[in-house]
Amino acid sequence: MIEANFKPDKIYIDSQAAGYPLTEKIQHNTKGIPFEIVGSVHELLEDIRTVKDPVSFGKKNLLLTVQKGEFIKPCPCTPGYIGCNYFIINLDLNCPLDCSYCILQHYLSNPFLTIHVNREDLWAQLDTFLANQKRDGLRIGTGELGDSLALDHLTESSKDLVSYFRKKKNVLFELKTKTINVENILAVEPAENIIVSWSLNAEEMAESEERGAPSIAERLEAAQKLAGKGFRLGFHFDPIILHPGWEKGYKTMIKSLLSSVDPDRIAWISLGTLRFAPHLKPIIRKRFPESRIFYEELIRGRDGKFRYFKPIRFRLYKNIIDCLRREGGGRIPLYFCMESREIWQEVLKKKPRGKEDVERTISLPLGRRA
Amino acid sequence: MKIKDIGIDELELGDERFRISYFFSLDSLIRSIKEVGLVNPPVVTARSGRLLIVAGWKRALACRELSLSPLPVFLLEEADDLKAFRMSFLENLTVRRFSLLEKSEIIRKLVGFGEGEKKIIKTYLPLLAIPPTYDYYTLFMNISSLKPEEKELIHKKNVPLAALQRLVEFTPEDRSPLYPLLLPLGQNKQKDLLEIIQELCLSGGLSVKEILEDGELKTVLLSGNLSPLQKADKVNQLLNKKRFPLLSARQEAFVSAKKKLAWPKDIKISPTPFYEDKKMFIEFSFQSKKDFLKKISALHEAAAIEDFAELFETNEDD
Repeated sequence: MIEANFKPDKIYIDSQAAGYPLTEKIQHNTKGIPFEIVGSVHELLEDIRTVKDPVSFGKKNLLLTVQKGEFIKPCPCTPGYIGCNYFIINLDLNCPLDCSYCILQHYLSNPFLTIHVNREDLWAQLDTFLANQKRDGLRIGTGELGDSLALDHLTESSKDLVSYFRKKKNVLFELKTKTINVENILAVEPAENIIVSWSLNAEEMAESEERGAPSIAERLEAAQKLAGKGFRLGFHFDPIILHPGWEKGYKTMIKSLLSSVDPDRIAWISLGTLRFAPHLKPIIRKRFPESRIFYEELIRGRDGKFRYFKPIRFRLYKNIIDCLRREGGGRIPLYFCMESREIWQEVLKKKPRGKEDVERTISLPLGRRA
Repeated sequence: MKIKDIGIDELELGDERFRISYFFSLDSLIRSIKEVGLVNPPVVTARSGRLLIVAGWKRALACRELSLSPLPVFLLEEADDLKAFRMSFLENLTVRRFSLLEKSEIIRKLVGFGEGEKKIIKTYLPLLAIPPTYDYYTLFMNISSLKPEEKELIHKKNVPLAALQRLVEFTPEDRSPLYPLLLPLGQNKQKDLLEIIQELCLSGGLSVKEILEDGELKTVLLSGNLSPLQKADKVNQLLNKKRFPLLSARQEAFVSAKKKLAWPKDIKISPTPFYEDKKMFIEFSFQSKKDFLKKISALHEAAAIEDFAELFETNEDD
């Protein structure tokens, strides 16, 4: 497991990122770690492509740069499946954890742990973006292209983000993590529209496929601390992985979850079975030769990505949701991540017409649940 | 470079240190030299009193076939092998495209001549239209390590890079029984077959030989009535069944349900790819109203058969 206070081997500072307050804060928080000012990030990225395992190299080295484009983007979801109208904030890219199934291994052309330091631009962009969003229940979060908290001891971003979003009552802001790096959040006051989420898996899968991530028990302990402080929580059972003993594995995880956390503090649980783009397969095979995750019946979905053959997905979802209901989680809003209308209908008996419908299901305020 | 006339036997053909091409036919070149002579002489360089070919192996071999003497050559005065090779490589680059095997040979030679790994990746791979990454460098090095007889087969059948990428991941013992199955297939099927076999091997901890010796597969492979292509196709089907048992069962159930309906032959019915949803598609052509109504009537008749609902039951998930 990586330590909660992960420290990079080296910090590369894009010359354009020098002088920003966040750059200085990170340098202060990483005293003793060598750093280098780089004139051309492009050349740095060209160089890293020549190393034997750029992904592993990138996970140990930090790049501070500026976000030249938009920080906020709609979650792209995947073609042919139902989305949930989520918006993502691309603050930090990549993650020091090393999950075998992680799409970031091939999704990003930049393998470095990357922090965009021009936070002043973020706040301005957020102000403009949110001013244009009139509806209640908009969900936005930072954990799509990186772990929301893995670098939080270096950036202390969570404190600023919680302070910012606390005032935006009609927006649900989510920090999504697998880490136990919650010290900064514990130091701030909770708010009903701030949700801290954990990705959970069967313990056996967490151990074998989520290299460097804390155990499920540790994640739940961290979640429990935040719930105790008054934060709302979210959980993502994603990716659900078919493996020998999966029924027992997911049941144990669900029992641990519901005995650690009051279900009424859980804002939502998302479910998604293993899926990945074809290009990821050789990367997994090379970087995780011991992994057995792609030996099950994975077919090409409507989006061209590998996913389990539908009857397998149906069985996994049905079993896990039944278990959640049996164990006392029947009132927790559930949704599928990147699933088909048929699965929604067959498993949850819901017929979302589109992503707006899904958003309405998830964004129900506490106390107004069916 | 000076041009010089030499006797053909002055060439040291046993030293192939600069050679990158192995599989070619000399016929057209011989015809051309006979007709117009040697327009572009080979490049040679002297080593220990012998003349080695740096560029133009094909031309030199064609001239030897023709016993052309004296043979005009360009004499490259360069004692450093890497520099000599680089010169010939860069010169070649401007006049022709390299095959996958030639590219792999170039990379191997560069390594042999002491060029650094990083420089090869950053400088030479882009020149060879190969993405400049360590993975591609390793892939081409692995291709260059294949046995000559494997390379010849790959050359003859024009095996694509996507399939080679898979192929080199097998051990030499595992590759050997694969070639007869692989080569009759089209390029896409080659890649799919290798992927399925590899996953069956890795998931079951089995060798290729063990997989192919299993029951029905062995019978197909030993059958004397099937052509190489028929064998390869049949093996592909059986391996798919092993690799995707649930999907195969659903496909078989669909075919069987369709058979019970005596489905009209000129109307195609198909489920969505991989049964991702319950929709089905029918497709037919018609050239007149009468023809159209005839097809519709045939569909009505099929739908009236009691077993029609079974088609949909094959696509139930629970």
